[in-house]
Amino acid sequence: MLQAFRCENTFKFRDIENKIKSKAPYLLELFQQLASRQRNLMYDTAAKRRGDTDDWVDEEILDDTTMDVDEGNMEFSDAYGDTEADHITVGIQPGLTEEAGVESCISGDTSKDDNMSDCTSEVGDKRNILSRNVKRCRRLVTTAISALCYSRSTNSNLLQAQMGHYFLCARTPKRPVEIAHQLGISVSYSSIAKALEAIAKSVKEHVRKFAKQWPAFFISFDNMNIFARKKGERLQNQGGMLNLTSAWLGINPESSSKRMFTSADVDISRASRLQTSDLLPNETNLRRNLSTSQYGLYSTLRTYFGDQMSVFLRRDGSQLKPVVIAKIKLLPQQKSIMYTFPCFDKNEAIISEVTEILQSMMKQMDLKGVDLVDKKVMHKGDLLTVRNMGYSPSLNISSPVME
Amino acid sequence: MAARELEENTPEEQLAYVEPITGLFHYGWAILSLIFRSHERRNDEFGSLVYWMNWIKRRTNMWDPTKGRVVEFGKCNSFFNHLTDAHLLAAVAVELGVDSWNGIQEKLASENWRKTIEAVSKRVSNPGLVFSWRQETNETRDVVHENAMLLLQQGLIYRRFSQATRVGDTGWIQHCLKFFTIWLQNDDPKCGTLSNYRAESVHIMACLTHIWSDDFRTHWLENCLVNPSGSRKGWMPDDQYGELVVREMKDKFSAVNANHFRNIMSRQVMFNREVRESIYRDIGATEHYQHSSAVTAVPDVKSLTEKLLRERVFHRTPGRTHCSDDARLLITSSIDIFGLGCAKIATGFTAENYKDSKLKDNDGKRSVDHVEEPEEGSELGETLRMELD
Repeated sequence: MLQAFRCENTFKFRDIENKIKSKAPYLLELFQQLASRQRNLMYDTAAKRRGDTDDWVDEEILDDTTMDVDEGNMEFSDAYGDTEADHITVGIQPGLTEEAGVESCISGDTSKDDNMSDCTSEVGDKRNILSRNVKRCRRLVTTAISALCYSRSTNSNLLQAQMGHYFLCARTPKRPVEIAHQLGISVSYSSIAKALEAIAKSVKEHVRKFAKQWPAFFISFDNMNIFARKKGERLQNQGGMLNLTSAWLGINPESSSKRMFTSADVDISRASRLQTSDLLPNETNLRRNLSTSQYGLYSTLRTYFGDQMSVFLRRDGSQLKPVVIAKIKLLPQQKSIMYTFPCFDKNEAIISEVTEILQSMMKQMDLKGVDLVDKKVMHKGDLLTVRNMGYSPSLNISSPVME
Repeated sequence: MAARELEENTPEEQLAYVEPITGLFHYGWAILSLIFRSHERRNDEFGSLVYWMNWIKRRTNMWDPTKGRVVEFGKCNSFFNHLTDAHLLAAVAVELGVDSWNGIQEKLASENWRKTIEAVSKRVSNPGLVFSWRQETNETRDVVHENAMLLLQQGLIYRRFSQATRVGDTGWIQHCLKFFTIWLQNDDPKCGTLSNYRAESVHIMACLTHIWSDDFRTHWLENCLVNPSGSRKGWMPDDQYGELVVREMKDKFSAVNANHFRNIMSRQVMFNREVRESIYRDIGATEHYQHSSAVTAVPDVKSLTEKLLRERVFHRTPGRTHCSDDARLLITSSIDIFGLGCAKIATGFTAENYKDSKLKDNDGKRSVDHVEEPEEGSELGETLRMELD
């Protein structure tokens, strides 16, 4: 099931289209021509490819495609998970026209207003950027073929599962989802619910294994106060303020430390070494302050007078170099790995409940007392959270929000 | 055996693995509050924050003067950045010898602006400048100029912190934290005590310099920010990400089906968000309900800059205590949080007080005796006192 989730995290219509194209290129081309104004081409091309002129819609093609697309389907009962953040691609999808085949004869015609007119026209166009209309046309074709496959077998549901999950993420109510299901563009609501359970199970499993994989992990949590309005208020079922706690654990995967820290790494007795000079600016700080000013001035001038600044040229005709600021410790570009814990029905403003939250998180991570002996784990949050973590757990006092 | 021993331990010992560290988002928020407090002054007074808010027609309720609190971080942050921009441009204009926005445009196209930047930055980068001016007699002081210089200096450091956070340069963050610690130590009563962050800032500095091992410090520097998107400028403090998690969870919360929310939905709220964004990105559909749109800051900054230039704020005029808006109204001084902070630290009280509170009797264990005296009249203070009594 996590496949569905995984696919959606890196959702690309292109992937579905490629799957269809690799298994049934004729069918794809046929549909693309159907979506085009130039119907005459449609008959010719399909017929030429198949070697005859009648019966251009081949039942076998559709069956084959359905079976092939089945391979990438979502088996809701057979969930497996890989929710690591590193599979989530970020950025712009690389060149859409790199591939040969059907793409080579598809090009954009941005001059035409008709959305459906230009799917297969202008065969010789070699432009690398597809027009918005062509992209839209291709998505419609992919959706139509996926819906056809889905009508033949509900196991062929790659697109439908992804769309179903999207509907849920976008907080679409049940009724429209069921309509979309009947129209063949989404799985049913019950399937989505099963998918969610499978994803939650998988995330739970990942949280359980996280400490083994990333021993230098850290935890962060915060209070979440919600005024919950109960449906159909009754004497025993009044609306009211709920004090919950949300928490998550994470790591920047390119961190140099790969071990769990020990109490030797955090020695409070070394606080005695703190000197007044540690708190006052030194030569390096003042030098950096100068860089801060230079860069601050430059970036502001650039924002408001960038055009004028580029006009000024030196005697040799070159432009002035921009002011740059030296990096001190620039973190490498990376995507942090983060998982949320289940929401805790505890109030972090109550010290004893903070202790319970801390213990629950360790339980979720499958860390027992023995694993944490003499260890140190970073726990972060706002000042209230941090202070409450610093109190003795036996002190049962309440400390309301102070920020 | 070890496990059994652990179970017999006190709760304090069982939770000894917890190393609590304050997140930088709330820290930055407190610093913005501190800057606002130091420049608040009287509302009708030239150069006060409310004066500038009114000048560019921003709503003043983003800042709560009675509690000295930044209510809406985004708005206050944006306003303060624009105000800093205007002060920077006014300082540059004085260096260029012009007195209007158009004059700056013309001069920058015809003069070596690198030399201008160098000259201005040499003047403004000395953080103790205003403190030394204030040691002079009233006849030689220029209060208007001092106030503007303080805002400019604080704005530059605060902006460096924000920029370093966004691009993920934690070395610069560490640099800024030192200045923030100094600022927080100022003892001007008008600035409020901000005692919680005052103590916490010293603790962070002590951790970074002595308490943490090199490995642990490096690890903090590598993990005090997170990057949910993986983009180059996608870094944010971890507690800011926590606020995003809270927002997503609240969005998905259902009191009717609370168990389903807690056990199923809350585990995947951030993934759901990524799914939505991924689909929108791939399909290119119009994303509705996105009410914020980038508004150009040029008119506001231009208006502020020209006012500063008209008042000749960056021309140091000895003995100036009024401005042309109302010659009867005396301009009061903004608080020099850097100078006062340094003076306080230099007495040695800050370091000694911290060491005493940490090392009194806890041997590095969790204890409550380092709790700072809460601010007078604060809700927390009253509750704590009641509970402890």
